[in-house]
Amino acid sequence: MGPEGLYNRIWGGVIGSGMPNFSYLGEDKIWDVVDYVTTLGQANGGSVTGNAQKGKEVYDSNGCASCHSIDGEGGSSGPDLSNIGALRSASFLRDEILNPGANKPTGEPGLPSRAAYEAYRMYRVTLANGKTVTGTRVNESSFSLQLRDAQGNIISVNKLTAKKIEELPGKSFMPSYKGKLSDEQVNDLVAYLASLEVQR
Amino acid sequence: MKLLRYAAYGFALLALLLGCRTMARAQRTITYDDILHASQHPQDWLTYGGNYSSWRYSELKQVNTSNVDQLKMRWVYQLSHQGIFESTPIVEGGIMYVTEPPTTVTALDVRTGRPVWQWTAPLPQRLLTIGLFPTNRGVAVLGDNVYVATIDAHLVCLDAKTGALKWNVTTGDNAKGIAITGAPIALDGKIIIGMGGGEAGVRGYLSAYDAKTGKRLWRFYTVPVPGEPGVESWEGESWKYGGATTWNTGSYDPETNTIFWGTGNPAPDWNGDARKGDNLYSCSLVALNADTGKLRWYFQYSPHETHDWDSAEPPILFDAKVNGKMMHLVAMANRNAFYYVLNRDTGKFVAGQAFAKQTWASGLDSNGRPIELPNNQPTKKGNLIYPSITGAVNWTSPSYSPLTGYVYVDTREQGAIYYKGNPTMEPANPADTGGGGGQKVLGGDKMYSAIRALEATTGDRKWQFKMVGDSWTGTLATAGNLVFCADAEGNFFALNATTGKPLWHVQLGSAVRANPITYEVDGKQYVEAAAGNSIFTFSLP
Repeated sequence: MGPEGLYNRIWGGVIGSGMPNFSYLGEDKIWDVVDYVTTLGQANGGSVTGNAQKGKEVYDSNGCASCHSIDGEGGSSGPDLSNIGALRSASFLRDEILNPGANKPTGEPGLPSRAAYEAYRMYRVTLANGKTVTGTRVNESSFSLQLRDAQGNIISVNKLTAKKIEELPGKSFMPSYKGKLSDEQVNDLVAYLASLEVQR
Repeated sequence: MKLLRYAAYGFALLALLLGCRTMARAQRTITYDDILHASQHPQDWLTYGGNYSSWRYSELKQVNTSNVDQLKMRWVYQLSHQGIFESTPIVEGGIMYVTEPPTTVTALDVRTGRPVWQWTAPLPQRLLTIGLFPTNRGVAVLGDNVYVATIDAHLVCLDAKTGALKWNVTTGDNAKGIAITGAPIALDGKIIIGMGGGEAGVRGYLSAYDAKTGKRLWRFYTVPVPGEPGVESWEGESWKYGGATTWNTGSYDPETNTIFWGTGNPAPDWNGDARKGDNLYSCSLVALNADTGKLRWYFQYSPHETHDWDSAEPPILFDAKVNGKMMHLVAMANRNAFYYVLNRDTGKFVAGQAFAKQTWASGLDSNGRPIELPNNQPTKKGNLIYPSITGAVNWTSPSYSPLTGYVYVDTREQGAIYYKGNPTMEPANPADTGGGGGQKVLGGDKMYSAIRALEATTGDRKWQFKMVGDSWTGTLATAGNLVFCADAEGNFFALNATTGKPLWHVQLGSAVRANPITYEVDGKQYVEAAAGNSIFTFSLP
């Protein structure tokens, strides 16, 4: 969420969260709060020690782009990383590379209706015809579930007719790079990912 | 020529008859008697809660369990004023009266969804809406008039045919934080309206106004002053900013001429240190003489409340046998996660139990007072408590079906980490008033919502339909043995009222945050739901 998004939430409140609207503060005061809030959290989350240039080479040579995309280039079964440097801390990125199933990212996958839910959880569904599908949860409502399979395809599941819906805790399509990359390579890759930010 | 002339007379007569029928339908004057017998006029939706007992139950059964899956969309109206849309429409005589946020009344042709008039409240430049969203939950109709309360606390009377302003009276001072989002109810010659703004440190009240003139007939303050019974339940002068507002809509029992209205939390919210005592009549149900506004009895659900669990939820009035004896009852599914049944004549506790996860009380005693657990208070560091601030339920309405004897409650299963802050209650300067804490909710997949069917006299759960997300919708029960509900993910759906089995659903593209209603047009039953900033209507093909 950018500064404008923060402004809007402070101005209008967030229904269901208990946060009321603060429109009475007026424009200037709300922008002061936005400025303050955006300074929070920037210092935490580990430091970047690697070389971003070298990290790009690690990214390119290890097949990351088969699942992830940056600026429209790459696969779609994993999260888009174009703005990952602005969204995630260095320590979080390092954990994801080494142990991707354990610490699923939470927060916005970019869909308004899913803004509150945890992203990239793996599900296995036995459909009405007996076929089994596995994928990460893209969205869910009371009646349907949208999964993305390992190839990036969207599968629409009717929850009322599905025979079985199982969550697979700790599972991820992404392999662990622990032992596959050297400490230096991990540091470089983290530096590269931390440098990715969409210019607005 | 003679034949032609007779034919012309015939056509004229036919046109006159048809015209009369249409005119009669369009120009019917709504009387108190009509609203009193709302169940005999199921083609209309005449008052906020469907009837004075707030059943939100319709006798219409053209749409029923055997054909609800054939419902088709008839028209959509997109609001002309964006915002949080929480309005229950009133439908009468071919017109749907609906409120758009923050205070616009729009009259729609119920056959087509086309607007026929619109009125927007003039609002002050500096509008105070502290602790509430600038929205509106609906109008009342009586005679040839439409009544709406504005966000800046005026009560307004409009001509139902044209939207022309008849009168506009100030009911409270918005500069002190008083704001109104609730719908009024129309009784015999009077309009009953509540108010909000408890977080601004105001003293709550409920008022009655003369429907013809706008003259105030009575006002009941929900927080007593020195010399009145109950003031001893407030430490020192804390009654001065006591809150206990009346921001939602209540019910009415014509047999005893009694109004039943729920009250909000005491102020400040999450830190009750400066207001020790039970804090009457906050978080209570008050039963008032409708002619005088005098208190007949009260029942306090949450004494000395410190979690923002208002008791403003709509009370449902019904008669049923308890231990073999027919009783006049009033039920409330409370924001504090307990379901209560009271004797409507005396206010005495009859039955109650938790209907959602709660960790603040071990139960209710024989008088219905909660038996509080230790460590159930907000703290400086934060304390995990169920339910969350927004409660197991909130402002949306449950429904009651006399067919099943169940109350259908849109329930939220959510906890929150409660924080205690340092409140600064300055009623003279409400913009600087602090609520004294807050919460961090357990969101995402750690929470869910559910439609729960509770046996009305006991609160025993008969079935539930689980929903993804944080639901803020009410329920509608019908003689077709259906319950219509919706969810935060934009699904509007129908369940079998006896079993909870889902029978039909449609995706409306945005969260539904308003109570659905039903009515009849030209012999066809319609069902209405609002999602996002649009109203959708459905009927059989």
